[in-house]
Order: sequence, then C-alpha cells, then structure tokens
Amino acid sequence: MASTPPITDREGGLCSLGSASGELIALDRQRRLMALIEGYFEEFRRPVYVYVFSMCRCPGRAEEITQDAFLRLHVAMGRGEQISSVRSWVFRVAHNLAINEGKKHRFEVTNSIDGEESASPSDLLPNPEERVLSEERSTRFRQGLSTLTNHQRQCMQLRAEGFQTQQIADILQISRSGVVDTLQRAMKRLRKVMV
Amino acid sequence: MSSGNARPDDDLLLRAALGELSEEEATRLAQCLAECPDGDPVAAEYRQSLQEFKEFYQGEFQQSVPEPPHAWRGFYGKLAAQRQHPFTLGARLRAVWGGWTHQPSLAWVAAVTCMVVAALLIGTRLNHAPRVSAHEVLERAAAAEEQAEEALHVFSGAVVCQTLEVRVGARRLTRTVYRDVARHRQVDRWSARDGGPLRQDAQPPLATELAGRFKSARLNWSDPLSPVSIQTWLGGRAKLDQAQETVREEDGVYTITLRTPASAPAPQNVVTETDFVVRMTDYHPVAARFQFSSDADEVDLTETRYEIHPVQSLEASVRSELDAPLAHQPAGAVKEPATVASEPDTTPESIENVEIRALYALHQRRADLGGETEVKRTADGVTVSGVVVSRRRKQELVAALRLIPGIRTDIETAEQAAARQTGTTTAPQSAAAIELPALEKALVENFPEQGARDAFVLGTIECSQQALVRGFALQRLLRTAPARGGTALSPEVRREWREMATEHRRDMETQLDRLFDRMTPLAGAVTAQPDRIPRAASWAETEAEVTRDLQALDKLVTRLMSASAGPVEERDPATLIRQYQDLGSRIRARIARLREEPDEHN
Repeated sequence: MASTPPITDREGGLCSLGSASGELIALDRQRRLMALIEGYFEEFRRPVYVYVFSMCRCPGRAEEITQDAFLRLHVAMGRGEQISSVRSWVFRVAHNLAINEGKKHRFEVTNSIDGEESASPSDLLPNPEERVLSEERSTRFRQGLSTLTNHQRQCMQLRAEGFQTQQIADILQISRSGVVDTLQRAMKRLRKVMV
Repeated sequence: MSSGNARPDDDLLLRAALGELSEEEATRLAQCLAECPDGDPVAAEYRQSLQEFKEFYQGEFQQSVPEPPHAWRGFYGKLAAQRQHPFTLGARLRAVWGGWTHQPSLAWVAAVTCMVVAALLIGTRLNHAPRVSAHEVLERAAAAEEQAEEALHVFSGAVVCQTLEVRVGARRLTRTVYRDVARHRQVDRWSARDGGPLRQDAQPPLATELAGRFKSARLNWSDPLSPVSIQTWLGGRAKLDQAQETVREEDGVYTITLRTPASAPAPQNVVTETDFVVRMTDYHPVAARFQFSSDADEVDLTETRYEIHPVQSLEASVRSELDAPLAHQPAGAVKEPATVASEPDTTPESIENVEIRALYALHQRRADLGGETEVKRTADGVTVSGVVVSRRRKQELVAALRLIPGIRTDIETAEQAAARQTGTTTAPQSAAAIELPALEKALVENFPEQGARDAFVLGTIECSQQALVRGFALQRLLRTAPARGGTALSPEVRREWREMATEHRRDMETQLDRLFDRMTPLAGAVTAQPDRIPRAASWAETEAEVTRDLQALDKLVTRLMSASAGPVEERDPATLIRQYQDLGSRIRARIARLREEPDEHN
C-alpha cells in the first residue's frame, strides 16, 4: 500500500503559532493514523475475513472479529507499539479472537473449507468434458481436505495467503519447524487422496 | 541434509518448494539432487500440491464465502469513537488485552486476574456492572452520528427524512422531520396517528407543549433522539458518572436507562429517568423514553423511518421551506447547544477561581493542551474561545463549562470558522522543501517493511509532539494565579492547579522517555548531564527553557525521521544526531529540576 507520510512540523509552525498549534498537530497525527488504519482495513479486510470465516463459519461473527482486529491495530499503533508486519499482526490477532470467540460461544473452530457445496468455477467451463473433469477434481480435493486436521488446514490456508513459514509460525504461535512439519504432513495426506 | 549420496531430507525439499532456502542450502540441495535425483520428483510434488491448494483456496473457496452481512458498516464509527476517546478506561483495557492476544501466557494471567477481581466484585456488590457502559454506548452513538453527518455534508441536497411516533399518555402524534444537515435547515410535519394531515403552518398543541418541556429540561426538541443531546442533558462526563445507569443488550439493541441522582426538591420539568435505545449494528438511536419530575405523562419516542432523499424528490412545500432564509426557520430548527447564562461575578478573587475551574474542566476533557481552546480574562468575567474539530466536541466542551458560573463561551467548529474566513487558502508546500529523512538509511535497516516504518515514525514523532504540547500547557498554566503569587485561590482550586501541573510534567517526562527509547537504536542513548547547564533562577524559568528546548527537539526529530520536514540548514545526519543528543541531555537535566514543587520558586 502507499506509504503515508509521517506528521511533521509545518515549517516552524509550532514556534510561530505558539500554544495554538500543539493540539492541532496532535489532531493531524490522529487523522493520519486513522487514514493509515483505514488503508490497511481496505487492503486486508477481505483475506482476514475469509480466514476467520473458515474458522467460525458465521459471516456476522467473522465480520465482527475482523473489525475488532483492525480496531486493536489502531490502539496498538496509537500507543506506538512496534509492529514488524502489519498483515501478520492482524491475522494473528484475528486468529486468536476467533479462537476466543469459539470458546465463548462454544462453537467448534472448524476451519472447514471443504464443507458446503457452492457454485464453483467449473460451472463456467463451456466444455462438458472439462466441466466433469474439473468437478471430479474439485470433489477429490474437498475429500482430501476433509482428511486434514484443523491445524494442517490453517497452515495450508496461511501459506495460500502468501505467508512465509516464519510468519505462519508467528500467527499460530508454534515453532517454524512445527509449521514445516505440519505442511509436509498436510501435503502427503492431500497427495494420497488426489493421486 | 543427509551426507553423501543419500536422498535429501523431506524438510529441505519442502522448504525448497516453498522457496525459503538460503543460498547455501540451495547450492547444497542442487549438488545433492545432481547426485541423487530421487529427491526431485518429491519436491515437484510438493510444489504441485501447494499450487493446487492455492488455486482452490483463492478461486473456488473464496468465491463460496458469503459477503459480510453488514457490509463493514459500523467499523468507521467505532474507529472514530476510538479516536475521539482513546484514553478511556475501556479503551485502555481493550488496548492492553489487544496487545496480549498474541501472548497466550500473559493472556491467561490477565484472564485469571480478571476472574478473581470479578469474583470479589460480585461478592461485595449485589448489583452487577453492565458489560458495556452507558457512557461507551453514548460515545459510540455520538461518533456514529457525527460520522453520518460528516458524510451528508459531502452530498449537497441530501435530506434526512425521519419519522417519529410520539406518545404522551393517551395522546399520540406522528412527526416527520426533514433535515438538511449541510445547510442546518429543518422542516417538521405533523399528523395524527391515523395518518390524517394536520395544518402545515402550525404545530399541534401537544407538540408546542413538548417543545417547552424539552427546552426547560435542556433537551434538544429539534432532534430528540440525538445521543449528543442526551450527553448534553447529562451535563458532560462528570455528571454521567454520577447518574445511575443500566445497560441491557437484547434483540439487537442496547437499552440504556439513566436515572439522575435524587435531589430534593426536584425542580419542575427536570428529566429524572430516561431510556435510550440504540441499535447495536450501527449505534443508531431508535427510541427514547423520558420521565419528567413533574407529574406529567412520560414521553415515548420511536423512530419508524430514517431515510436519505435528494431534496428534489421532496414535496414542493417542504422544499420551499428548506430553501427559505434562516430567519423563517422554526425556532430550534438548527441544532445548537444552550449557551451559558450564569450571572457573572466579577470580583478579582472569583475571576481567578473561575479561570482555573475552566482550565480544570477543559483539562479533564484533554482540551487544555493548546490549539482547541483559549481561556481569557475579560472585563466582565472569563471567556473560553477556540476552534474545535466537530460539533460534538463543541457540545461536549460547552456542556462541561456550563456548570461553572461566570463563564462565557465562544467556541466554534472548524467548519464554522472556515465559513467565517472565506477566501483564505493554504499555500502549497514548496517542492524544494521535501527531501528524504536524515535517518532514512537507518530506518530502512531497522524496519524493512513500509507499514512498520510508517508506524514507527508516526509513533516517535507523536511522542515528541506530545511532550511539547505538555510543555506549552505547563507554560499557560504558569501564567495563571498561583504562579504569580496569587493568594486569593480557594484550597480546592489550588489543589486542582497543582494536580494539573503535576500531570502535565509527568506526562511530558513519560513522552520524552518513550521518545528517547525509540530513538536509541537510530541515534544512540541520551543521558542527563546536569553539571553542564546553569541553574535557572526559578521553576517558571526552567520550564520556559525546557519548552524552548522541546520545540527545537521536535523540529530536529521531525527532520531526522520525516520526508517533509521543511527546509533546514543542516543536512549531515551525524551533526543532526549530535545536536539531538545535546538537546536531549539538556532537557533531561532540566526536567529533573521540574520535579520540585513549582510554588516554592515563585
């Protein structure tokens, strides 16, 4: 995303305006922080929402958790907390919130991305033969996914989101070697069903 | 990796498929695969699996995820509410918890502590605390209202059409309000409950009676469901804290019940109890009930319609009234808070007290840090003037000051100020003034990701500016009575003065500590060197020196961190860092002197 310039003294404004400019600068800073958060929200809300939805399977709750994660980002950045990767940070907080919410409302954090049947891209294929092949592949893929554990699916999803293993480890709060091991097992299981 | 001709480890093959091998590992793997090609198909399988999953996840799965049911509505309102009052207890707790959500062990400690505290509270108090405070809901509702009104300002010709069912005992009315927010115009239409139209040029008697009751109770009859109106009625945060509140969450709404503290004998037409119903999804108020101290019936208001329409789509009579000059608008059509009408007492003692009381009221709302307001003594009392960011903020400050006798307020919103000063434009910044921050290289090294870098710079400059803002606040405070040796202050006011001075000084130190800590990896540590600076004659002089140094420090930090710090003479980072350390040392040494009691030096 585009970088937001930091707040600056408006060319000696503080000196010349004296007491009148202090709060205005603070307000200016708040506005910039808001713009920054809004930018991150626009950019990352959809992937975070999809990830959380796959955990709780409730659109309303996923929306709320996603919003909450960004509100916490606002608080954290407002306090000057050092965040090395905003995207990982938001995913990590959203992941934890989803788990907490799952405990609170006693729903199982399923991370089921293989559940409901829905309109798939194969429906758009013009050739019936291609469509049948694609559907068959999709069915087998879903079958393969249903054999994965929640942890394995979460690792795969985060990888598909483009996170490196260290970032996945940070989000799920496990070791990097744990992530590699989990991904390896997940792919072996998938291959077993797919081949 | 295994040695010799053995097949490479699966871990290594997977990391190769993930593209996360170091150069050295990649070379070793290539050598190994050259000797033992068995590993190659495995790596290819991993790559294929990852690719297939990615395609499935980004294609089929993402398409099957339903859109969020509320289309992200409410987020910007919540964000605005958080911006307006980031230092409330609730926000602080949320912030602390938010910071801990990625540290499970601390989260558990916090959870256990909270449970113990909750158990103690339940043991000692029978009435349970609400999960969401009335204050928080009102704040969020007010922020959401402000946000909506700001949005309406963008679309000229947009009119809010709101229908309210009004019930007072057995009497019922339907009121339809057409509100042009951008032009501050409002037209009311009344009808009986069965839909029969009344005369358009007159209010029915019940409406006139209610307008009077609302006015005397300091409620806003032109927009009776406005959360700001409720806040104003409660007389600001201090009064709200005293009010007894309950918040119920059911059927998608918050129902806030507020009872004002019992005071005998209660004057006529004072609201003693109110229910205020706010929709949870977007914090929009949908109903209210008011119980007055007089024996009159309760007033129930329910919103049955809230829509935005272009002015062209409204009926001609409404349009013409909305377009009429402001003088022809019905009384109370433009929402404005009641102005302060206390009789001023102009004796010198009371002016000193009033001035500090005003400063204290502003201090509690963080409005004494410069910029927003200015407190001035005039021939007939004390005047608080200033420009604030929003109408809501204006009402909050006016409500807080209303409780102090002898105060005149002249506060306007930025929009009003801009309208007054038409034709003034800001000169664009010269392109030549923009150049890279002096510490650009160190910043990129420490924070390779742009987002993290932005956040760090933002936070660091914020610390510097907050310290400076506190310096200015202290300076203004010193100009008031105690610093000039005034003895006419009451003990209570004197205590308030000291409390403000201590808080400003303490916050200044905190912000400076944070600033120096953040700058240490980039510009080295700052240590105090008290023996290198001459001792100022008084506490006030020391404070003035600190503020001067803080100004210079702020410019310097901005120059070091920012891409648009404006023209400066010095460009060499090493020299700038040396200047920063000298200034920092000086400020640290002087601030140590400020910890002494201010009065002793004046």
